[in-house]
Amino acid sequence: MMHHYMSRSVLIALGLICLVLAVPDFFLARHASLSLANIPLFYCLLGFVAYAALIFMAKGLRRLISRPENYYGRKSIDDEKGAHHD
Amino acid sequence: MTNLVMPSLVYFVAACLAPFIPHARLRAVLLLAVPVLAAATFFSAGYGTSRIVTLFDTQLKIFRIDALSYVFALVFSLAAFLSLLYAAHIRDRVEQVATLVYAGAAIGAVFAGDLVTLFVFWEGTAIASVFLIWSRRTEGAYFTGMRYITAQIASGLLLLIGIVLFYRDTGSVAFDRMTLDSMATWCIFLAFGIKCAFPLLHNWLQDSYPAATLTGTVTLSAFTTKLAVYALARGFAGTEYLIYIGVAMTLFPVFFAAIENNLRRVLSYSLNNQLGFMVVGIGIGTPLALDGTVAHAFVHIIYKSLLFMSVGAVLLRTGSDKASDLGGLWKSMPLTMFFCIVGALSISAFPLFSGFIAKSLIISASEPHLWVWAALMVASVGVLEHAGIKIPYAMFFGHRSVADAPKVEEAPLHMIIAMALAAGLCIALGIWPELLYALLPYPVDYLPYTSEHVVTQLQLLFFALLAFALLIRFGLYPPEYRAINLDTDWLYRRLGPRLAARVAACVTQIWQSLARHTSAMTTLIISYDPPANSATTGRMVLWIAILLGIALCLAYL
Repeated sequence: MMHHYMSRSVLIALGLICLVLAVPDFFLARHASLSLANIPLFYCLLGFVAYAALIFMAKGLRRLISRPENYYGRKSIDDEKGAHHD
Repeated sequence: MTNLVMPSLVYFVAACLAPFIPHARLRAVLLLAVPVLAAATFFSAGYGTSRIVTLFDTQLKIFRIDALSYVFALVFSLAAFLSLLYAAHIRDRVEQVATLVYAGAAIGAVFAGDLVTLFVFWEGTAIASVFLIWSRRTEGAYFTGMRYITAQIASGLLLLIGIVLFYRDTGSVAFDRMTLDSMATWCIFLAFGIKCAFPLLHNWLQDSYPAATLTGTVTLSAFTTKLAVYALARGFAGTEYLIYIGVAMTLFPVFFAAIENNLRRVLSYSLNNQLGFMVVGIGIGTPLALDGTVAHAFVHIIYKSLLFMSVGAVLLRTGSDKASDLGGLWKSMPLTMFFCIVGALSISAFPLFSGFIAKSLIISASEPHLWVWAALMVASVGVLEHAGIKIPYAMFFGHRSVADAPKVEEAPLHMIIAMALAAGLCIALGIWPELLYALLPYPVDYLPYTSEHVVTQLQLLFFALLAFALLIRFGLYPPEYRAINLDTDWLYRRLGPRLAARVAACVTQIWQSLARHTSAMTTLIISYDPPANSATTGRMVLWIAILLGIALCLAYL
């Protein structure tokens, strides 16, 4: 099982970009036809929450539907080794 | 009427001649001329040009150019060129011929002015494309190809039934706007739906695309599903069901893509999600929404090919397309990484990239339907997750450092050129959207680059990126490991065969027990026969009686 790695500097840089991007929400009024979308930080929260929720739901789904690669045996390409691709 | 050479004919003639060109490199170069020549046949033809042939007493419009068919034929030609360039190292004549016939049939289908011509080319795409899977030449690919062709033929068969019923109902086979008010149009709708990978009819796509050759997947990704989008846009624009179907398509593949290990399958789920946006646009059916669908199909074909190309290049060099095997390749394949990131930024709809200027049209058109708009926004975050982040991250960064990554060469030159062209188009269309807007079926009165739109889009994407970085930092991001995930294909690959085996076992058991009892009865009857009769005659009469009895039973079943 391979866990990904994220360096601290990338995280800080992303945090700073987000901070800068959030600033206009307190100065510029939006004119979307949906009143919901005019709430300050709406898109920031939507992006963050939707992403996190999506990942947690996907992890739950994985528990239900994950199977070994050889589940379908020889009738599938998933367990093939050394297949030539070109 | 016109003397115009049919563009699909150029592909078919080339497909007949190509195998006889002995020199492989020369063949690869000549193949590149085919999409260019074919595009030249219709490039300057005006809208309204058509060709009609009479078959028996029915007039078939085998060729028609209008704004909708023109833009799809143009992007199909572009995709054919990029695919052939990307596959310039291929020596396999079967795959080359299949690519030509497939592209030719797809272009023939978008120019079809009647349903019969559409059907012929529809089946042409099915039959040609399966060879791109079989060209992998493994047992798994053979069975996957069989499942793929079954789905495609089912779609063709439904289309044929629909056409026959439609002709009976209306006396016409013209391919124009239809309404879902008869068995005929429902059959046609479902036929389009299978090829468009509607929810529950979708799994042929994720099953088969990762099984093709690495060049074959690039070709497959462009044509079949977008042909279905074209057919739906032509036949069923404004059909409300398509909004619900499209929304479901944008959402459910996102979860599967997030946990999938095979990166070409991740892209196949992503393709399904992108089709969802287009289907929503067709369902809304306003000029802005339809323009959005066509624009999205156009840019999608380019950036999706680009993403499949980058995964294919990595697969060629490392021998794997699985996230669990990859990572840390940014130093050994920097150009591939760059082009992959351009594709990722485009599909995620970052401003200045092509996805932004196309998807915005559909999302703006969905604003009157609040819940549709909200679903599309969430789905956009999903696109960023699986195609924008996961694909480049898993291959070039991910869980391996450069030191751990396999030492491989950069992709071959022709692949780099193909990826560079696709990436260039992604950026050019993002910067100059008017180039694409000018091609769309309805006049576009839309400004994608307003400060409000750019800022909100960047907020959405960067805060999602921040969530990704935090999840990884805290070890909450799903780790990569070798596994597959069940989808609806489980029903026909596992449950169906098992149920069938169980039923077969039951039937065999009943049959054997019946046979045992009958034989016991036969012995009994024969032993009571008067000694004067010969045993053979008695048996014969008995068997005739049994057979007649069975026939009688069968007749009443």
